[in-house]
Amino acid sequence: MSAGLLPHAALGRLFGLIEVMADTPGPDDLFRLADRLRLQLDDLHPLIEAARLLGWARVAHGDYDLTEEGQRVATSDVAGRKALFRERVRGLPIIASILGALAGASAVPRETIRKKLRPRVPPQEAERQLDTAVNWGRWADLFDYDADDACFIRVEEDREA
Amino acid sequence: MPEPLISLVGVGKRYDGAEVLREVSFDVRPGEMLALVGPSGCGKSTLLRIMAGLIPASSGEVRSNGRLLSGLNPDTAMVFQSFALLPWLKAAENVALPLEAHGVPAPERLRKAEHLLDLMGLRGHARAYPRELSGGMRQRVGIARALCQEPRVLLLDEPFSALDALTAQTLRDQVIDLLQDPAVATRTAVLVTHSVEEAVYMADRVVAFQANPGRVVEVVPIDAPRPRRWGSPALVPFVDRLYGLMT
Amino acid sequence: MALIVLVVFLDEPHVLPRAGDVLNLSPSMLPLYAAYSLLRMLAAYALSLGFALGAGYWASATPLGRRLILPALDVLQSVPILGFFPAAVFFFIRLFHGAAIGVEAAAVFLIFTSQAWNMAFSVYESLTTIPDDLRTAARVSGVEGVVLWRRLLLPACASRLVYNSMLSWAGGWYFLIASEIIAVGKSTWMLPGLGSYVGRSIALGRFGLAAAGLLSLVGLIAMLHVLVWSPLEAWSGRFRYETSASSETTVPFARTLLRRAPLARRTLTQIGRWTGAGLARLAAVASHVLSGSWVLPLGALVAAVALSVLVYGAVHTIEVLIRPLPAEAAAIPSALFFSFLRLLAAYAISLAWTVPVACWISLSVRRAARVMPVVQVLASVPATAFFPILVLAVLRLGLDLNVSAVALVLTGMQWYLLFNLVAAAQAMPEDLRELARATGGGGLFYLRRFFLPAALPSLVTGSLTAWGGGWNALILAESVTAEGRTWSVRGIGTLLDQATYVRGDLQMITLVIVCMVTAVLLLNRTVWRPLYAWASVRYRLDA
Repeated sequence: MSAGLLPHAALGRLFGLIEVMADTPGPDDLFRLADRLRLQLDDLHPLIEAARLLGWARVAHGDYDLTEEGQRVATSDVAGRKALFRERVRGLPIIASILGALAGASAVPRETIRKKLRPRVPPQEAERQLDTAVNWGRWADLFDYDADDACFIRVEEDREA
Repeated sequence: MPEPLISLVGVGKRYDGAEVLREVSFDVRPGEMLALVGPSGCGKSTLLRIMAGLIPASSGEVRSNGRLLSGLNPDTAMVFQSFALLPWLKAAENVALPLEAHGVPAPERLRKAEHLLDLMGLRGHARAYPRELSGGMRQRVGIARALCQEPRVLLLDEPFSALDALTAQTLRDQVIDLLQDPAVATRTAVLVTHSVEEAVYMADRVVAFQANPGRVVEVVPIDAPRPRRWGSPALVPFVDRLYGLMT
Repeated sequence: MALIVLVVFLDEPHVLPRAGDVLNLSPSMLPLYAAYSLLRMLAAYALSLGFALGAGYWASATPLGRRLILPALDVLQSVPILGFFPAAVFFFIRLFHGAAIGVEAAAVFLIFTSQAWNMAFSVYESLTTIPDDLRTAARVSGVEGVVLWRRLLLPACASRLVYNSMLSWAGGWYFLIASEIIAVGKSTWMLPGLGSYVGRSIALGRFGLAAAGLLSLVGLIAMLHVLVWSPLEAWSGRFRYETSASSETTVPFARTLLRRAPLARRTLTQIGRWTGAGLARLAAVASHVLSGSWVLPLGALVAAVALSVLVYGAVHTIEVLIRPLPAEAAAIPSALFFSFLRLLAAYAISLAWTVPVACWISLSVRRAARVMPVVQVLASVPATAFFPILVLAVLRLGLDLNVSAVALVLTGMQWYLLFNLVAAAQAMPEDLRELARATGGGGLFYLRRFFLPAALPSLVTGSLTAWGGGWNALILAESVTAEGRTWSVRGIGTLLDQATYVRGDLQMITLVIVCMVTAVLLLNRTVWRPLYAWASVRYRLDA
């Protein structure tokens, strides 16, 4: 996965993956994981990438291993998971750039962020990156998105956690 | 034994002379998860809709909360296999639909909707359109909408069939937890599924159906302790028994 | 038809009432005339919308409604409208006891008949294609009445309705201008508006003024397109059933403008909400009325009354028809034949240019996105406004009047074909397109093997509508008054024209219209329907 790009992982599935990983502690074969989850490589790959990117799993030589934080995620409730997810995600390049733009304005057009991506990312992939960023940002309560106006919306931090 | 929330006595259904359901009788007890399993064509979805008051029974009695059912059942709400969200409304607006139907003003109903979405873990997605959501998230919105009606009995029509295995598993557990959550008034549910494993995993009792015509073979109590594990050996005898009853 | 004949019959004097004063051709009157034309369009559209929602809903909700309305719409859509215009004028003038508003009513009625059936069909289609699960979910949630209309039924109709409204307005302008021109050219009743302005200017040889009138018309239509239709079309996109994430983020220009003017935006949103709520309320009341348990007896009563009136009218129509036929009636078959030939010529020419152009447009999605808005504006400018100039040019050049006749019929046909073809081409699945590109082999090969098969069913539907439009244009095109005299070519339009304006021969009028309607229906049943059935089976893309 190219540096700085988000893997297109559905969050529900990501946390499902972490839970299953936690069921069999210690290093194990990835293919066994794929088997247990009944997932093909195409579906499993982004999930593994996301787990790795967020520092929740180590992956090497066809084996996986849950990190300490990954263990914490597996055993936390939804609120706990959101907090852990939020901390990890706000540092990712695309997310950080959106947050940075939102520091200066309460609404940032999609176009602005897309332009920042454009030079190094082809147009179709750029759109997917933005869609994933929207989904992750929403789940982490970092920002919101208005699909009608196509812009990112600042979210007040005072929401009860 | 407390009053059943829904009771069916001798319920039958005919469509143009073809018998779809025959002599169905069972109760839905408060606080239980009841599963309806059977081969396709056994009329379990039809029966669910009869319980919801969407279709009238051709024969027999349906009682909800002690009273004979006529028209829409005010004590039930439904979750659909296809999620059935209005594509042009945002998640919160979809969830708030039952309240809007009862004339609750916008600020209040949207607040309640956001609260329910929070319960489902989708607080940040309140302003998302269904097309921006994954399948699992859409079904969560569907569940939130049903819960918004504060039904006594939640009716689920193959709610996880359109989802992949991993998402379905997460959602199953979430539904089980929700029905015990103090923030949710609903404690009872009826689940229609074609997966015996799912029925045994989720339900307290399973109603086994056969087809042609659709009829109840037996009601099997699942007294495996909770929390259950998918595919665990403790559940196997029940799965076995049910297969035997339906084939 | 029978009703109108009935009324006209009761009012035997074959003299059209006089009205109004001479049209004021000063350019300063142009905004006022534009306003008049626009008002007529708005009135007709409001009526059409109301009818479309009511009839469409009734047809979708009750079996009785469906059995009554759908066949009725079918026939009504095939009837050439302009033929009715003089009769409609008679009817409304009598209704309003000779007041000038009768003529206005006739024009509005004319436009209404060009829009309503189409829109009713689209409402019916939209309502019957709502996914069952959505309906059930709404029912279970307790949604009914106003909320049902506001949240489910109206949104479900929105997308098709907006598209249909755009088409309807384009058609409406066509007929409005035609009726205004007829008014000013052939008789003494007055419909002040842009069409009559242009018609009169040309008749007087004041070409500068005519140009000013035409420019105003085009300007008005273009303005409507930018301020109303474009934003509406973009807005209605959110009411589709798409399940994929919106990766294309084409925010309409109007919306980005509004983001900088929060007050205007809030006002517009509020207006939008009120309109939506109001429309939903009206629709809810109407649908409640239509589904009430007392509808059946009331409907029976209304049906009985309508039936007796119709029977009475039909009897009189037949009585008119079985009178000894006038000598002119013998000309009808040959007139029909010549008109048919003109239609055929125009159809051939339309096909010759629309098929390659649609093919070319369909090759690239970006090209389509750029070209279509322009085409849409072009198509909404009514060709009938340019017709007087065309005729004059033809006469000055010494050409046969058939040229202008075919040309006008052409303008009434080609846009239906083009839009249907383009829509079909855009609906072509992407992998089919890729296959075409990969196979190579030049434009003609692509046309034959990929584009035509994909577009064939739509081509047939488009042709059906195009021929309907063509018959209408004939009535205007075959007989014209210019430079002090009347020029005509042998055809059904001329017959109708002479019967109406020269002799006031009711029997002839009835005969001609009946023959024309029969010809249209025959053509539909024997040619277009079977062709469509064959094409849609043979060339289905989802087989």
